[in-house]
Amino acid sequence: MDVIAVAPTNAPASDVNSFPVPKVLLVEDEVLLRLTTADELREEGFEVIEASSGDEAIALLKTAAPIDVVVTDIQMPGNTDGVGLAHFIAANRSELKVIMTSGDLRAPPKGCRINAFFSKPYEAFDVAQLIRALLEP
Amino acid sequence: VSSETKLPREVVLVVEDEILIRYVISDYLRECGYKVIEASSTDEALLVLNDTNLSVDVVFSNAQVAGATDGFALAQWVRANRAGVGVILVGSISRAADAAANLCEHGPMLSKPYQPKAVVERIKLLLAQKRQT
Repeated sequence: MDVIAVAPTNAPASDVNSFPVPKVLLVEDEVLLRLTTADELREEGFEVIEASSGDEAIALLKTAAPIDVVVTDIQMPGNTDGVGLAHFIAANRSELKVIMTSGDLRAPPKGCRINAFFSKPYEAFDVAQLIRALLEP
Repeated sequence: VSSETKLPREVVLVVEDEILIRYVISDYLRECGYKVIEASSTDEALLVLNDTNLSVDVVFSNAQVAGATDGFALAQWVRANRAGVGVILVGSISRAADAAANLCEHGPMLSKPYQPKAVVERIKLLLAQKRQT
C-alpha cells in the first residue's frame, strides 16, 4: 500500500456537507494533545471517538462502533502500540484507513499497512484534509 | 436526544477507564449540547484540571477508575482545589454509602448501571446550584 506524502496546505476545506460525516478513531495517550486534536477534528465536521491507548482502540474496534479512519500515535503505553494496532487493523478491519503519527520517528515503521504518516507536531487541519481525500469516493 | 434538551456549552470532564462506557456517555453528553473532555484515568483528569487554558464546570467520574488515585480522591482534590467545579461520582452501591459520606454535598453517588438521562439531570442540578452561588 502506498503511503500518501503529506504536505501542509492552506487550501480551503471542502464542503463537508456533501459527504456523510466521517467517523474518526483518534488514538493518543497524551490527554491534552488528544483533546485538542479531537476538538479540532470535530470543528472540521468529523465525528471523533477518543482512545487513550492501543488496547482501548482494539476494544472499540471489536465492537460495531462505526469508524472510517484510525488516527494513531505510535509510541503508547499498554500491550499494543501504534504498530501493533496497525497490524490488528490489517488483519481484522482492513477496510479502515490508517494514519500514523509520531513525535520521534520521521517516517513510518517498515511493514505497517498504513495510508499516511505525520510527524509531530502536525496540524489537525492537514489531517482533516487528508481524511477527506482518503474517503473520497 | 430531542432538541428541547439542548443546553449551553458548559464543560463536563468525563473520567472513565472503560472506553466503551466513556464513549457512550461522552457521545450522549455532546448530543445534549455539552462540551466534553474525556480522561481515561484520574492522572489524565488532574492534567486537565491543572491546565489553566481549560475550563471545567462538572467532573463526572467513575469512583473506581484507573490512576494514581481513585475517583473519591479526585473528588476530594476538586473540592479542595477547584471550589466552583461540581462532582458526580458513579460506582457500585456497596462502596457508595461509606466512601461517599464525605462527599455528600455533591449528592449521593450514582450507581452502575446508570441511565445517561440521570447523569444529565444531575449535571443540570449542579450547574443550577453553581449559578445561584
